[in-house]
Amino acid sequence: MSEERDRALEAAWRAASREEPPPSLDAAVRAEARRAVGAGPEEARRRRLRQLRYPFAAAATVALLAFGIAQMTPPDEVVPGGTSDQAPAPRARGAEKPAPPSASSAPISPALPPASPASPSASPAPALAPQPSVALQPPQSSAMEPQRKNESLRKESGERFASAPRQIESAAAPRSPPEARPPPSDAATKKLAPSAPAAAADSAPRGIAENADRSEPFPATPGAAGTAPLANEPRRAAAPQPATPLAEARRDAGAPAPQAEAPAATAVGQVRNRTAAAQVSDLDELKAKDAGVESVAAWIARIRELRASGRVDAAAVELAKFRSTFGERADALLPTDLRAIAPARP
Amino acid sequence: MPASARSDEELMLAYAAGDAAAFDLLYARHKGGVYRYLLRHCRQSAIADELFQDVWSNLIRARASYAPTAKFATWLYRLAHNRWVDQVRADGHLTLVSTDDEAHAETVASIPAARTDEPQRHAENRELGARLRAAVASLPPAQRDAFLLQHEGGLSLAEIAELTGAGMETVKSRIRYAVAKLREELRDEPRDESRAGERGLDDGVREELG
Repeated sequence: MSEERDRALEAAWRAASREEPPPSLDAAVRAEARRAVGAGPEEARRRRLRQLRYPFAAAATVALLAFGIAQMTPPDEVVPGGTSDQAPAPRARGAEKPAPPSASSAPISPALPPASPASPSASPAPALAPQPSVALQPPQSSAMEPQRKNESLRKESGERFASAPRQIESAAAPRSPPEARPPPSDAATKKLAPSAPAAAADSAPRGIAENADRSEPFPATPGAAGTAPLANEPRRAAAPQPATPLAEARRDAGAPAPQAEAPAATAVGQVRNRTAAAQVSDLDELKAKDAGVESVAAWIARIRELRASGRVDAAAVELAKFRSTFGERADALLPTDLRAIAPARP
Repeated sequence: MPASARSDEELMLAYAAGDAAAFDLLYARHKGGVYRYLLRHCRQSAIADELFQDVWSNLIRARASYAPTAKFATWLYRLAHNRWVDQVRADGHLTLVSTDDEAHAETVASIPAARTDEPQRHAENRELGARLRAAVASLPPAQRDAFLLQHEGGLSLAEIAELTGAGMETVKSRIRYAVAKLREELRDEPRDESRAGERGLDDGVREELG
């Protein structure tokens, strides 16, 4: 009986005595215990960070290595041949809209014969290319080929650049008609002079501007076309000179003359565009002759004459013939004012 | 092995080694008993809170010196007991005396019986739990201490004897008298004040009012 009583007492006591320390006291004691062993929230956070130190370090190392490898890996060819040739040549600001596409923007048939070594038309053009192209070129054999050519031609072009003013002056002299190369007039030379200072004659922007000029090598006026081009002067060799036709074309289009704003990075593409344009221009001349015209310039001059004399229909017919002869290349060859004329059936 | 299955001693050693989670388990196991032990002695929660925190602070400070030579509960309740004794001594109102010691005979004889025997208190504490708590509170300190150590701390007679420094028979006697008094409370029978006072004297411990 006594044991039962004791059990009853114990149960009663358990039921009666249930007090617990207040939660704030619990928290205080636990916090003190954690502080004592350095296991507080801050300490736990530090310990977690310490545990994550190695994974973080490994990740950072991997990221750094990846970045370094990416930096050391030679970049892909920034201006690959085919791509850069299709890109329109950079022009002066404000002239993008009315500006015709670059001559090189026209699709070039792969069946086109490469420029013959005998023809110097293709070689001097890259000489105008600025040096930065070397840095952008990956060390690939295919890309080195034109680069080497540029190197060899640069010396030659340097001499020509040195004599550029003299050539411009001499460009007033008549040239042989078969090449139909319109020489720049003195006035055009004067026009070009302010935009391209002589001190920067061999600079990249100047080369780009001249290259852009070459994409439209035909005079905008019949008078200019009538002037005899240089007989034996290669078209590319005359690169520094023919700023005049473009200047005129730009004047016709109301576009400002190209300035030195063209980014130097695009100079490589410009050089290649120029090369492609030169090759196609030779073909254009052949096509023009096949069509019974002396040259492309003469054809354009004739269209202008017809138009100036009021024979608009005949001009349109000639223009249609021109377009049918050159196809997509026609727009690149035509001056801006003729390009806008609606084609008519011949 | 799950942490909850670890013994108190293992947990204390783990905490001494820096495992704060072990302390949490240990604290959860014993916080109620220690708190009630102190609360029954002090009868004021504010003081009990202070003592309670002191006990655990002492335990935290002494963690490095802990050696599992005895039960952890024994060590813990010794800390609590010592803290309570310190508190009583600091108050200067209470003095623990023993009837075993003839030097305290006069003092013991002058101590009146517990006030919970008063009829008014009986009338107020209708509920069993309240009566029990009051009865425990009315126990002489030594009896109450032994009773609480046994029922709240789960200590054995030997452990209580070791903890309190009293003899085994003394502890047994204290607990016997305490239980007998509480039984009377459970029976809810009116008690004779004189008998209760005698029983209290038999316990050997008297509360000397300062």
